[in-house]
Amino acid sequence: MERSGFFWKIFIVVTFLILIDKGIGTILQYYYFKIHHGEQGRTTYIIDSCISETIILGSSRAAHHYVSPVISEILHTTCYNAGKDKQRLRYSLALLKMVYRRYSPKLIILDLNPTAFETNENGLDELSILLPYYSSHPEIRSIVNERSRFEWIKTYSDLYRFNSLPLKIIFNNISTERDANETSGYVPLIIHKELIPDTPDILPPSLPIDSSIIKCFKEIIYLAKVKGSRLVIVVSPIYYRLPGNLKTIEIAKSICDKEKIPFLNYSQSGQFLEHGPEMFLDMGHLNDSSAIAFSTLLSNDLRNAH
Amino acid sequence: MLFNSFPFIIFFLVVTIAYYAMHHKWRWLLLLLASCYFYAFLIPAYLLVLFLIITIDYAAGILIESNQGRTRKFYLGLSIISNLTVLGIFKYHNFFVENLNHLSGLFTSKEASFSIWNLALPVGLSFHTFQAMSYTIEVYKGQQKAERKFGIYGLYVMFYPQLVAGPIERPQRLIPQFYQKHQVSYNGISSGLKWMLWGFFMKVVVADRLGIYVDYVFKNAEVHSRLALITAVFFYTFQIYCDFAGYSLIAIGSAKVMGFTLTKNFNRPYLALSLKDFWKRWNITLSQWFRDYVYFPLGGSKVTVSKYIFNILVVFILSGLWHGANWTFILWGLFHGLFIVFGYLKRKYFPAIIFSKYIRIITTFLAVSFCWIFFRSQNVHEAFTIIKRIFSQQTIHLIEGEFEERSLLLYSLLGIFCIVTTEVISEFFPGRYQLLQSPKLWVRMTTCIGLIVVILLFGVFDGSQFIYFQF
Repeated sequence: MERSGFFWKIFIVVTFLILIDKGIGTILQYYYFKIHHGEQGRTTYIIDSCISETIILGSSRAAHHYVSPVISEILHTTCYNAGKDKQRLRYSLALLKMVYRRYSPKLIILDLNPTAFETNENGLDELSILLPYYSSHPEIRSIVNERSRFEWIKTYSDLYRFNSLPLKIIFNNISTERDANETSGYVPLIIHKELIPDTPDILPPSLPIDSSIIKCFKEIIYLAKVKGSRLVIVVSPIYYRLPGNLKTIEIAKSICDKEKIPFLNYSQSGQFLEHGPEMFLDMGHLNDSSAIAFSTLLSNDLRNAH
Repeated sequence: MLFNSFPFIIFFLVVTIAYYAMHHKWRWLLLLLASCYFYAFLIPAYLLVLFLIITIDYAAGILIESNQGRTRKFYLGLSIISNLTVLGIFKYHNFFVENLNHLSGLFTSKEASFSIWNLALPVGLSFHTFQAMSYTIEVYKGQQKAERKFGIYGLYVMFYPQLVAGPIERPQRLIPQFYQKHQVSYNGISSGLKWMLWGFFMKVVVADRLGIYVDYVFKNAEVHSRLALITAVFFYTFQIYCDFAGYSLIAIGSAKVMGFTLTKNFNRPYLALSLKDFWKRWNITLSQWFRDYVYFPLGGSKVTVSKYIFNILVVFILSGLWHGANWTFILWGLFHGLFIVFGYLKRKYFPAIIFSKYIRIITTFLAVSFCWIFFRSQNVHEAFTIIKRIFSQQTIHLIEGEFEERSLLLYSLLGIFCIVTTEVISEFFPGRYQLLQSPKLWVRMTTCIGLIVVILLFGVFDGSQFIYFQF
């Protein structure tokens, strides 16, 4: 093969790749933002449309523990649950930054996982969920770029930003589910995914603390203060016995005390743990009826405190 | 450094360009430094372990060559014992101690408490110790001259494309290539890049996607249904193949771009007609290592039936142990050995019973898949729990959840379909429908573009390790 022929072929391949990348990327972007239900619909709704006075932030424990209609009714407010499975504090911070671009919620309830500040063995892969918003929401770029040193280069590819999403985009565009704005964001848990022992185990030994996550936590507090939102940090019930000196809880509580942010810890609440496994769906999550009970308890406490 | 990472792409481009830009005289040095950097990217301290192995075997090679009679054997023994000691310290010490402690509890009232060591296993240790051992053995056998240049010998053990997961090369094949002057060959570069592209596809699009479901099921095997477990076992069968073969293709391709030819390590193993045939197609260089350095010295097949059975079982148990210090790997090897013995006895005593080609392929595939249960399980109990549930559990749900998980299954099945189709075409229609090797330029280019698009769109970029790195 001649040298010039080789480089000519490389040039053609690269040119076509760029064209296809931009072409398919544009189509995927168009149909992605047409999704109004399911996980993607919920995320887009909270980022671009939601105007609820109260929003719930956090991981799967937030998504499945806070029954927004119950909270709305007791607190006489509009409430949307923006919790998301497999996400941690960086996602909550990114979401909050995007929400604040449009409006300031009156109340933010942040569900804190008892191990939230510990090093995550999966790294920051979870943040890939924010890639579709990368170009339209510059405020989250610094968070997404934390995924890897070369993330900013990778995001030049439109295909990369919609990685693993084509089938979801197709399914969700032909699905007849209710739109995210017609629901309250709360996702009830119904199906068992793991065996639960009769008595709660002791939480496995903690991993090292990741100072960058603490920084995110502090940034959430700072943002809420600057934007005038009332922020409440809540640790919802978990089917584990937590040691008294759990680092995440200790650190979060001391930060909240310093910043005068309410810190409500229900993780070991007897109302849930003493009933054994029947109130839980798995070790980390309440079932639907327990979530209603917990939301009622929390809302009453918030109302009384207010 | 992981092949499936962005830093590797940059590393590969920089090293390749520098390699061709540099004078032939200094290329070995560039490759050696690049290989050190490649390895140090993971755990820098373990370069010292590699340096130790290289120094011992380099010296042993020269001493073996320059001595006669029993002294040669002594130095060979010393080299092998040194390599096995390094392997034993890092890989087998804790396994041995744990079993010793447990065993002592069976005979006394209290278990012994020999302490385990908190040592991380250097990545790919089994691969480079085996490659190093093959050098001293070949020098001893007179098949290879002892290498006098320390840097070249170091490069033979450390050559970055095959440093951490093979192919395990023989010195006669690799060392002379370091002395050859490789001119820029655009055909070679093109063909190497295509191998790499297909390797990336196998790893990030198929293997890592399948791995998500496999991990999900194996993590909580005791709550999953029969269908979910069977699906996970078959998915793992394809995951480990695409993971390892994908790595090998990237290794072979990246070496080819620089003009080096590495040994083909896979040859459509899941289309094997028997377990014996499977091992001629799977991890070929490891199989050949065990054949030449363990099986043949034990007597091979030209012995009595009982000795043959013994030889086979020894080789496969050792092969299992090579993979990992866990009873699961030993059982994995044992089952492979037993299946081979079973096939041998059938051929010897019931030669009239002949099954069709397709039945043989399917039964071999099922036997291999069954063995992978042990390979994937964390412990023997987990493996038997899975087997028990496969044969007793009744519920049929595959997975719960919304589109995220259903689309995962669909991506996985599409990936398997691509691999099976490609393998079947290559096996039964050799030379036909080879898209990447098509005589038509537009077909080759379209295939390359298509593969890159598919990798970007459907690849899993979570930086997951290659399964065989742990060995």
